[in-house]
Amino acid sequence: MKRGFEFDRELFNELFPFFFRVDEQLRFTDIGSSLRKLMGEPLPAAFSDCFQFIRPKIVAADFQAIRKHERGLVMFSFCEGKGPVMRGQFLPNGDAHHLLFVGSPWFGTIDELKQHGLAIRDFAVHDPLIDLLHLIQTHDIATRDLRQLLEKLRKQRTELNDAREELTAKNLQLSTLFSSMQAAVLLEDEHRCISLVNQRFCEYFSIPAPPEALIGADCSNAAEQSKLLFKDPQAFVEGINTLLAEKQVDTGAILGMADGRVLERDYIPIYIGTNYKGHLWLYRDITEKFQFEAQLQEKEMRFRSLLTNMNHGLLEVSMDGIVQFANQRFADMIGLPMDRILGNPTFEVFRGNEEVYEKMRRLRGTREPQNLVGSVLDAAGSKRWWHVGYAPRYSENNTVIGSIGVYQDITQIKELESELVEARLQAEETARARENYLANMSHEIRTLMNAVIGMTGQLARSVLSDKQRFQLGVIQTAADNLMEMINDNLDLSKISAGKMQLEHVPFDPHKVLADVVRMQALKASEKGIYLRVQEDDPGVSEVLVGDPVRLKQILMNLVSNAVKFTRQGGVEISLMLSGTVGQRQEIEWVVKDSGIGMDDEFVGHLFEEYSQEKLPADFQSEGTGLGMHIVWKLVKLMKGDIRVDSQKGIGTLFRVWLAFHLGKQGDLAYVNTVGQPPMSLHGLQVLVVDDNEINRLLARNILENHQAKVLEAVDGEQAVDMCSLMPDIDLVLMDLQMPVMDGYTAASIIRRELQCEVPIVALSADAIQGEKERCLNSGMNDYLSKPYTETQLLQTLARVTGLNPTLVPVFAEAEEDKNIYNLSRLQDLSKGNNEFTARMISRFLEMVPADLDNMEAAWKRADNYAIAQIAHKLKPTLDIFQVDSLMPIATKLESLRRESLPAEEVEILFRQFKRDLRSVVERMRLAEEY
Amino acid sequence: MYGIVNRAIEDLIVHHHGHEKWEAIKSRSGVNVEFFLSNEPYDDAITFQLAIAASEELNQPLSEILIAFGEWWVSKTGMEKYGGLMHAGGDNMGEFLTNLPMFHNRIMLMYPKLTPPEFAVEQVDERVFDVHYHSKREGLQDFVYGLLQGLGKMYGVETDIALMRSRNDGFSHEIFRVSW
Repeated sequence: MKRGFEFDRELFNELFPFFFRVDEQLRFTDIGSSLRKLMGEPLPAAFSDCFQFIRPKIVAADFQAIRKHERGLVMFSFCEGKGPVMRGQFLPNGDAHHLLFVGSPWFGTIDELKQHGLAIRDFAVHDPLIDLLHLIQTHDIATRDLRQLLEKLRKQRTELNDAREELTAKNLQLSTLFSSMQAAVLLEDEHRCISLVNQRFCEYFSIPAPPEALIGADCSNAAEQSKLLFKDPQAFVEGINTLLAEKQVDTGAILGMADGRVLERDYIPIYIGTNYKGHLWLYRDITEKFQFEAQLQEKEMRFRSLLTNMNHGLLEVSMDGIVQFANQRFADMIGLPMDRILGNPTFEVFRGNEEVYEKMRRLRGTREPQNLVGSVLDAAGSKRWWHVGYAPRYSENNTVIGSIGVYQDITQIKELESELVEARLQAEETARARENYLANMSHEIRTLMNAVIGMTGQLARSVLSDKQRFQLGVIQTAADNLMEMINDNLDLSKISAGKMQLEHVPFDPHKVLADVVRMQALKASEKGIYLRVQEDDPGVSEVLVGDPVRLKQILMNLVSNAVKFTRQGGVEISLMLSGTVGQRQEIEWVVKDSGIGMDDEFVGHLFEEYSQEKLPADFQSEGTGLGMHIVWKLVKLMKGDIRVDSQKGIGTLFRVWLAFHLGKQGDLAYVNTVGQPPMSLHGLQVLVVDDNEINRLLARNILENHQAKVLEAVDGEQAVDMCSLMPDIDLVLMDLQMPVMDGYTAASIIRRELQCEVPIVALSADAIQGEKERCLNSGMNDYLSKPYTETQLLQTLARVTGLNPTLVPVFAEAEEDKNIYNLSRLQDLSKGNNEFTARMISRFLEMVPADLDNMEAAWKRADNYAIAQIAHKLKPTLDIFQVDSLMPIATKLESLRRESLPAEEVEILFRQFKRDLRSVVERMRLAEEY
Repeated sequence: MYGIVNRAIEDLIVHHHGHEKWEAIKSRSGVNVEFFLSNEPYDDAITFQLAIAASEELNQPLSEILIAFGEWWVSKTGMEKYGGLMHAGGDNMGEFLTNLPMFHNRIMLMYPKLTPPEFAVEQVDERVFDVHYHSKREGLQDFVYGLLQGLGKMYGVETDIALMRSRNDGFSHEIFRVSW
């Protein structure tokens, strides 16, 4: 102070905020402001209450001991670690009774300040402690930086090692790849030194060194050195220089070599980021490909030239419908100049011809080649026909890139085709007309023949004079021959047209033999020649499977011819077993006669159509000349064989071989037997449907002969109505062709709408293919072709009704009709006066229907007496005409005069009487007419 | 500037946008420094290049980048690396601002290669201070703005900072009025 420094306590405290002053008892007499913050409240009273020395070592800290260390550095700490270490010095304070401490606390880190409740402002501004702490912190940060840097370096080193290993592996792979590559490869670094090269490169460019020896070699002058290997050395060098200057990827450059090879070159500069690191050369020998492409190009040119000049229009179109190529022919066809076709959309080119355009547009993109035909209008507006062949066009990677259309003007062909179609239609129409004509003719002839044969058969049963019977015989023979001719022609037509279908049914060949003999026996007997079975081999199975009808037809033809052409001696028939193979037997039939025989020349033509040998006058055949031809055809159809051996004047021998499957005994469903009692259809109610009255009458006649009750309908509609109203009908005989409603429709309605299961038999005079199937399809049960015999009808009936078929007589036609009427009594009465007989019959035919009408009227008014009177009147007439079957009913009706019967019974009696008597009248009338 | 500044920028970018983005920014800036040492001085231009590249790469105005960086400097770099010092700087916003000039003056000695800015503080009112910013560097006003904003956040006060004067307007230095 004396020397000019003046400090008041406040200023002193600002300079040394951690000072304190103690007296001789070391009691605090003053404490700096910052030290007070460290000491906290309450303030300690004496130095030793809160501090203990660290340096120097003062065991008993008293005033004198401390004074010895005046001006020396002292360090002491707060007791029990309650504060930081204090660092400073003790100074005498003006007198010998006080000591002054100046110093400050010592911290290791700046964070400790806050722990002790201090801030920067608690330190004297000149105190460098804070800066020291800051420096320590900075060093600490630097150390942490260093650690981070080391860690980063370590990581980078690891990554670098990994990358180096990977690079080594990649290099190895790359080297291997280079070595095995088909291409020649050269990798240069940015200084144009070789990094990698493969063997193929050395081979391509005739370098007499292994590839590994070239690594590191300088390529700066390589282009110049190797330029003579190329066809155009200067161009090669310039090309290389340009590539190296521009450093842009360049692929697919074609280089012609002086030795004729063609190389393809890729140049690929290598950049890492934006840094150029060298480049890769790839060379491929494409000599073969190049030559192939050149050939292909030449072929394509030739092909295009061909297409351009050919007579077909050609149009190539892209996927978006733009014309890419067209030839002149197409331009001519479409009538447009080429500049309006090429490069134009197809819808423009085809404007006005949308049909072809649209068809082609739809095909575009499809992979299947297709053809189409369409009409267009040419430039003159005439309609033309085009045939267009569509094919897809493919890119190298097999993608469809467009289409090719080959256009051909087929107008002429189309016109010809049209004419052909018309001609074919006409031919078909003619054929159809012919077929219809034949069918109609067949129908008409058969209908008429049905009547002729049927009625002659029925007439033969009546009582006839000898002359009448002779005349009837002539008619029957003529009818039979006519029918035979018709059938021969129809059979031949069927066989020729391949429409003859053989049956496969069980039959007894021995019975066929017997039937043939029996059927020809009469004729033979009439001619005074024998007809006998020479041999009937028991080895031949009793049941074979085949077509017995056609077999019989063959044999009948042969036997009837033999009988016909034999005057003396006779005919022998044999049935023999030729052999058995598995389940088949081959049968040999032999027909041997001692007839007139045939000369060799005729034998050579025997089986031809219309072959007839010129014969003596008394042998003039009434045949068609088709019989033997049909035999031959049938044998062939049955896969058999026939041979003939004949000698003029000696006789003829026919041998027929046919094979059949073996059948079983039980397969024969029924066997016709002769001599059984006649079949009875008693109680059977049959509806005959036919628009032809004669046909109805014929059927009625046969059926009623066998005690069946017969109903009639004139067309299909009536038949349907009757079936609907009369559920007790047992059978329907249905004609097929009728007005109003045909038989098929009627059968179909009866089955499907009426749900009626009554058996229906089709009666058809048609002989057209498939008719039987059509009948069965429409719901009918069986089929009978007109004209039919009584036996055929009865057999069919037996089949469909389930009646005992064995009761059907084969020759039932020959039996007398005893059930309807008989004129013998009348003829007796007439004493040979035919005029009388005729008049009587006429009278019967007039009177009876009138009487029946009267009786019906009486029945309707329930006048039983009148009914009885009429019955009484009719009884003598019925007696004269021997209508015996109605006599009991007439007697019963007559009794109504005396007794009454229930109305229902009267109705039954009346209806039966009326129906049966009308039947008698109709038959008698028919008999008279025929 | 010392590397610690650039490190702070790096940390800020990596923290918010990832390492790849930082590499992209660094690549864009053209700065070819693999590791910024905190106590190593780097050319000021590097810091500016990084800030500009970040602005371009993140498609944000440079001022926003600098403000964000100023805040980050206080809240992350300052607190994590100089936490004790920051706390020792004062118990509240006012004390810290008051000590701010002396704080920077001390740094000048500790970082001999540093040319730290110089701050002067005037207390206008109890909670209103004018901070005078003197620097040889151009274009760091937004950084200072962000620093002051970060300080407010550090002390948990809502600050209002207005640039009262700017070298851009012909004055010798910037004056920020900080009130809370």
